[in-house]
Amino acid sequence: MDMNMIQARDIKRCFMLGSGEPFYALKGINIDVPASKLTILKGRSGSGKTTLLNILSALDEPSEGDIMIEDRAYSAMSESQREELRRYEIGFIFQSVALIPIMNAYENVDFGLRLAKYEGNRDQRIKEVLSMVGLAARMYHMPNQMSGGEQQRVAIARAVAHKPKVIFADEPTGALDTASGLNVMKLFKDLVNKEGITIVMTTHDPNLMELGDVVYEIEDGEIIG
Amino acid sequence: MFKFLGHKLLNKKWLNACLLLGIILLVAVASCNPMFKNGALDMMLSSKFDAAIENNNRYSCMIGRTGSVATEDFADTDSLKEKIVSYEKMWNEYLDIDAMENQLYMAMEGTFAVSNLGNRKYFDIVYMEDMEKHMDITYGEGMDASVSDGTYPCIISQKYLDTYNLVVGEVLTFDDITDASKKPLSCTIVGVFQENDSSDIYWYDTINDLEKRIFVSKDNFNEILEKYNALTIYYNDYQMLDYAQMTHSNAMDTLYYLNEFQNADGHFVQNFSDVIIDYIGDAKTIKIIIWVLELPVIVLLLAFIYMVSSQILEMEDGEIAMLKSRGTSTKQILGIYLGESAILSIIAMAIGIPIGYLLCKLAASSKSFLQFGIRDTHFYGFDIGMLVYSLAAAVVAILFITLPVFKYAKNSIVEVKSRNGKANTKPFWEKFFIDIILVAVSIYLLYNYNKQKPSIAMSILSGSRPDPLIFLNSSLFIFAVGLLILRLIKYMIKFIYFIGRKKWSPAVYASFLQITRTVKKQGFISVFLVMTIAMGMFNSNMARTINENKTERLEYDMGTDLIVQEHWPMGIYMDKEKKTHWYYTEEDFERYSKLVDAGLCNSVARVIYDDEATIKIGGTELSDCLMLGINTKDFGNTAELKSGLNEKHWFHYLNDMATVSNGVIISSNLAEKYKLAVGDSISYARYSPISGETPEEIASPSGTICAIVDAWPGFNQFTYSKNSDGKVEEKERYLVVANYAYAVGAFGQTPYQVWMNVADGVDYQDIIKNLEDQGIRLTAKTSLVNNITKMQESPLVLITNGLFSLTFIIAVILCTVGFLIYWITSIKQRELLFGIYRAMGMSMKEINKMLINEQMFSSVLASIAGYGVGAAATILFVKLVAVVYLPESHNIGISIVVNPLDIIKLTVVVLLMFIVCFIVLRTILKKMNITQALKLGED
Repeated sequence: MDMNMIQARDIKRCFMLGSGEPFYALKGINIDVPASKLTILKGRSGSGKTTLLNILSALDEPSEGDIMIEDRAYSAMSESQREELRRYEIGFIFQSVALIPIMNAYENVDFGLRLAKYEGNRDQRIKEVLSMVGLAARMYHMPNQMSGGEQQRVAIARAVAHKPKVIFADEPTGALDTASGLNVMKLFKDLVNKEGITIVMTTHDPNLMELGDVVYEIEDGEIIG
Repeated sequence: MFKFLGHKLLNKKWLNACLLLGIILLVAVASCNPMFKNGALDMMLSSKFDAAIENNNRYSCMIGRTGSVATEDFADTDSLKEKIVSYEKMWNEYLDIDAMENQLYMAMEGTFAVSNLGNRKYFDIVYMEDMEKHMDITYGEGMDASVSDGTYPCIISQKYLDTYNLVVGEVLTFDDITDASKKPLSCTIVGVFQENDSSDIYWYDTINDLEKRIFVSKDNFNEILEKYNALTIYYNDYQMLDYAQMTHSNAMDTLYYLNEFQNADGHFVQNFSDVIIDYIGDAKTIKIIIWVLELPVIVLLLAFIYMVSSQILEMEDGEIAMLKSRGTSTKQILGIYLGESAILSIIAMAIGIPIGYLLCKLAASSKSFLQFGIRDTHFYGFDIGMLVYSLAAAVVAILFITLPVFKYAKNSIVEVKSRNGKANTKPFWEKFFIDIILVAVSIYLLYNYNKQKPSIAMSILSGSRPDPLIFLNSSLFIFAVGLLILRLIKYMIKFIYFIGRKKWSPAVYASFLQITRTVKKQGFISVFLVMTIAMGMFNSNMARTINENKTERLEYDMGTDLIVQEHWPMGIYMDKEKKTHWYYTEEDFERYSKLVDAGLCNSVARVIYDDEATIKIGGTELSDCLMLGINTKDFGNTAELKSGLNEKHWFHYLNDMATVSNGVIISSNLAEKYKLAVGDSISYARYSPISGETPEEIASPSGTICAIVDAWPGFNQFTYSKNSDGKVEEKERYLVVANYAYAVGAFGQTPYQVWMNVADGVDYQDIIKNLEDQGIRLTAKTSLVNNITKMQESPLVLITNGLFSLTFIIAVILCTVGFLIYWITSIKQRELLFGIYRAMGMSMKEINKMLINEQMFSSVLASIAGYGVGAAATILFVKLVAVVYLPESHNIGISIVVNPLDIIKLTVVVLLMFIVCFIVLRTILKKMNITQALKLGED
């Protein structure tokens, strides 16, 4: 049966506008993220999907409402506990410059592993995940010597290397051409299917929707489908 | 366009403010140069005239003419004056200096005159223009007095009235000067005169010079000319020029015209071309030293400007690439930056020149390193050269800002994106080992200069300008070692990273990679830090060494705080064999002892001081030795001697001599030369104060050597004089110190110097005033405080202290601002990176740790290295550079002086810099919102 990895209840996020009026980017969202599934948050830009992703991933805090990850409430966690959560149990993939520019591919993955205090043989794991994303040959290249698609694949390798429970990806295909984008999606599917990882991603690309196990459509801070 | 540039400048207001600061300081330093140089030159010229007047005892900026004319050509004084004035007009036309006073003297050829009282003396009959205004009649009447009997009234100076035993009313008859009826000329002495102000520059030829003259009025002089048979008029016309109007700008021309006048006119006289020649020689040194001392700070400023400009360009390279991709040409982009930097430079000039003016005034008031006092700085004023120099500085600044634009403007957006990947190429200097080569060059130069040190000292003493490389080499060394240290730090970091590479925590891991991967950028600030700290240290040590050593030598050369010599009238009598004898009577010493009771002095001592004594050993005689006659107890209390110069404390030697009445202390150079030991005997002679054909020995007592000393208060072992070729020669001098009572016994009463140990807080001038109020006539007074002030005001010391202080202040400002700017922009640029770190779960604590680690290995390490380099430069170079300032050999050798307070000040500044920087960085990071930072990555 489907178990929920994350449950968000009645999430509101309010920003103060320059005029002093409150603006609700999220207007009471309820969402369930099933474990070991690919969940897609779909919406146009400005719809609030990135804000929601940031809140789900404990990068940002909601103005109202609460999130549970495996029965633990974010509201009950301290700042450092949330840091640990991000560090050990979550992997991130950002839209564009996701890699650390001063480190090569190998070191980027290594850095993630060091952060997560990875117990096993780091060197072996790094090579493993880089091979998985098909970049074993470009291990020692600096980010700027790689194409956008390659960089994104390194980011994925880094995100999965420490075997997190959930991976959050903000528009992972946004800056990529269609072929690279599909490539990334295929990798995600493999991770979900083979490694049982939970993935939450945002996109505005309607073509990718059918690849998701669960799809939420967001408009003006509300779930519409 | 203007609006666009203004907007663009404001967009990065902090960085542009830094750039502006850099240009302002550059303009200020540049505009400071001519003002400081010309001020120093004018001050030097003026002090050279002052010194010449003091040495010559005569106004020393005079031009004039001396000659003679036949009375048949010039019937009266007016017609002669007309001729003289025509010359004056010509001189004044060329020389742009006003005459303040004029001494015009006309004399009829002298002859013997017989007085009615039986005196027979030679006299000239003289008319001096305006003489009445500059004299007082001390007895009798003026030269306009009416006298009967067809004689002419004349006056005579008090001094010659006394010398020739003349009296007022005496009539002098000149048998050889007769009128048409062969009647001889007669003059009646009607009055006695004296100058009304002894410092009056009118008296170029002083009354003492005008011996054997009687003075008559103009009308009488003309009448005598008309009626009597004098054939020749001798004249001296002296113009006293205002040397305050002599400046750096007209000194050369003046010298040229003086030579021209001299060549054209054999009767032309002047007395100050030597002063100007001397000045021109020293001026070369001043000009060189100002440049040489300013150069390092100019280089530092240019480096700063380049650094900030590169930082701005780096942040804007995306913008530039975008403009390029939209079809803007390289030329247009260059135009934008040229426009920006031009705006900044214009603002900088408007602010920089006044700041330069103030900096110059500040530097001119320096007493010592980083010590400024209230001082007359009127020589330092606005100079038109300031505009030229600051304009040049602005142009150079613009070049330094816009040149790197070429590099960026060439790139398209695609190249920009891939640039960071190539940032790891080794910098040029590292690849070609420029650092090691430069260190080697500088050490080689140092080695060579050290070998030539004695000849460098002699050439400086002879007035040659110092080799600028002697100075610049130390800067080269600091720069080169700075680079070398950067290389070593890089190796070290790589090594440390390597040994712990498996275990490093994420923060340390990231910081090590950050340092090694951005070494080019970090390198700049590191070298900057090394150079600033090392230069600050070196400059402070250099300045302290010069000041302290100069002061110490002055203290040693004087031996005490204040020395005065009273005028003792000499008594003369002739014995039966018509031999002249002289004697002195001691003036009341009580008047000096009372100074101690009055609390003005701690102690006073009589010191017979004779630097023309002769020491006799066996058959050899050593002339020009220094002989001191002292009361051991008083002398010990009054004189001072730095410890460590002799084997034992010098009081031991005083005690040794006190018990032997004919005991002497001699200098070790004498003992070495003649293999003398304690217990041996020598003789020493002094000479009669009455100068005859050959100096007459008063006595040559023998003394038993009680002690041999290396150093003694007031005794400098080395003297310098110019030989016949004009070359400076060093001569060794010898010392003999005897007991005062024994010396008086041998040489009779002798005018002595009174040495005074001045009580704390007492102004020496109060003591002088006290003595003069008691009616004591002082023929000489030397004050240590005064000597030290004079030393501090001497142009070379002043510009060195001033510029070292300025350089230090500017370096510290640059270092602080540069450091902050570097770190702030580097953090701002890395905001996204920090966002990623934070998103990945790094805590603030870890980020702080990362930054601290990064600073430790780049800045802190570089700063510590800076201290090391500063210390090394001090040890290696200070003694060499100090030779330029202290070329003379001396009993006190040059020793390096380090003022810990300077180092502490520097360290406080550096620490403050780190702390402020860290607080600023933390605040920036704290304010940083992770989601906000990550958004940066989305555009």
